Amino acid sequence: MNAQKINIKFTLNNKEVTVSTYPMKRLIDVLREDLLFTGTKEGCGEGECGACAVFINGELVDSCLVPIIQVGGAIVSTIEDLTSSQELDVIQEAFINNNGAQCGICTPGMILASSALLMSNPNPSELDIRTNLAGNLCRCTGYNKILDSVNEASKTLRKK
Amino acid sequence: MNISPINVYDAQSVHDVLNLLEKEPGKWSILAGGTDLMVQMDLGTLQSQNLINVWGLPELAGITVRKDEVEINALTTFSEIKNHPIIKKEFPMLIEAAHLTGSIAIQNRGTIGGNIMNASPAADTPPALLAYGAEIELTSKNEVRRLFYKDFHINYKVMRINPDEMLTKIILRRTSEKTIDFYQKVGTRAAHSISKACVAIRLKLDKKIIKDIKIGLGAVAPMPMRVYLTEELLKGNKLSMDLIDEAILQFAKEIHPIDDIRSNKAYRLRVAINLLRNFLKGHIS
Repeated sequence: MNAQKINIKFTLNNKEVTVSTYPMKRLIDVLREDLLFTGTKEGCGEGECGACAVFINGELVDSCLVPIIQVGGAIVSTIEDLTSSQELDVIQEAFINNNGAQCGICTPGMILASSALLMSNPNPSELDIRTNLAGNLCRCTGYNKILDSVNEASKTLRKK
Repeated sequence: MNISPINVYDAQSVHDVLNLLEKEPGKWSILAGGTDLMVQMDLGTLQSQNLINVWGLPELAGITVRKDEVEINALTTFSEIKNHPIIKKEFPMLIEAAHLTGSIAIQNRGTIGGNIMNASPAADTPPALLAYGAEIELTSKNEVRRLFYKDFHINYKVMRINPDEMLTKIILRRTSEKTIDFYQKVGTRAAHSISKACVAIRLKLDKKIIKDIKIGLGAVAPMPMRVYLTEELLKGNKLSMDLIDEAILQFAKEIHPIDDIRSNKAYRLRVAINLLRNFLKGHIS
């Protein structure tokens, strides 16, 4: 027997959305399949890699570990929310300038984790950056370029 | 895994949860932050097809500081624990454990109650709670009872909880005495690593005499554990190399590490022994 589908209403990137789905559907699947927001990537699907990170009510979480029933009434923001109108965000620019992305699968999660860090700590040390991005795995760049990207973004943001 | 048959009851209050647990004991599992349960669902190892969602219930959130105790409600996240000023000051091993659990994204969602109820022998907070002599509060429709956390885990994922009860609080006793805390997790990397061995110790020393010692351990037995015989052997005695050697012999008999994908028995035994010996040796002179 199937469980009942439920209607879930939440705010996604400043717009109210409603989906009708099973309560245990993962947030990442709702974002990608129901709402066609494919910026959020799936890496491991078990909370080990951080690729699927999004913000829920301002907190960084792995969207593969959140069932949609827990998202009702929440404010969700994804990588698509970082870009205002046609301009890239400072962190995105810094990743491009420093070759912080290679295959790109980890990048949305890396950028949101960097954003979470820079919001709470505008001038992070190298150790701060490494600690705060420790939950995000990259299998291409070897992390140094990502570190450079976050450093540059932090400098640019402080000048603003 | 096919998620469509999973039935979720969206509880609006603790009263709701307790009613359901009383009506249909054993049928329901509790869904808190989801960081363990969602992985089990994905792997197809989820035990129950009937879940009660408690995430967001305000009655189960937050930390209350009282004169003699700190009460941590079951839905408190690792991030909330990490940022709490009194816990930082008085229970630093719990801060360290929260800091070493998963990653920041996991810490923002995972809860201390979920960590205990998932009952992994390798979880990071249980050794710290054991070393602090924590108590837990179990609530059913008819009763609220307290239990020393050391008596909670009986065997691998077997706990002293009735089917109509839920874990509602973790209680830490505050002390004004001088204490020495030591917490060390051995894993493969900084984030996301699951412990190969974990040792948490609270020691009270008075002129080199061990007044009290509680040793909590993770990943060296089928459940988080204390080593009472080792503690008894140490208590009341003057710290010396001879005493440490004697304690280590007892300690090696008392823990039961295993071979698995993360490590092996011999390594776990060696690491646990070295951590205890080095800690004690450091306080001889």
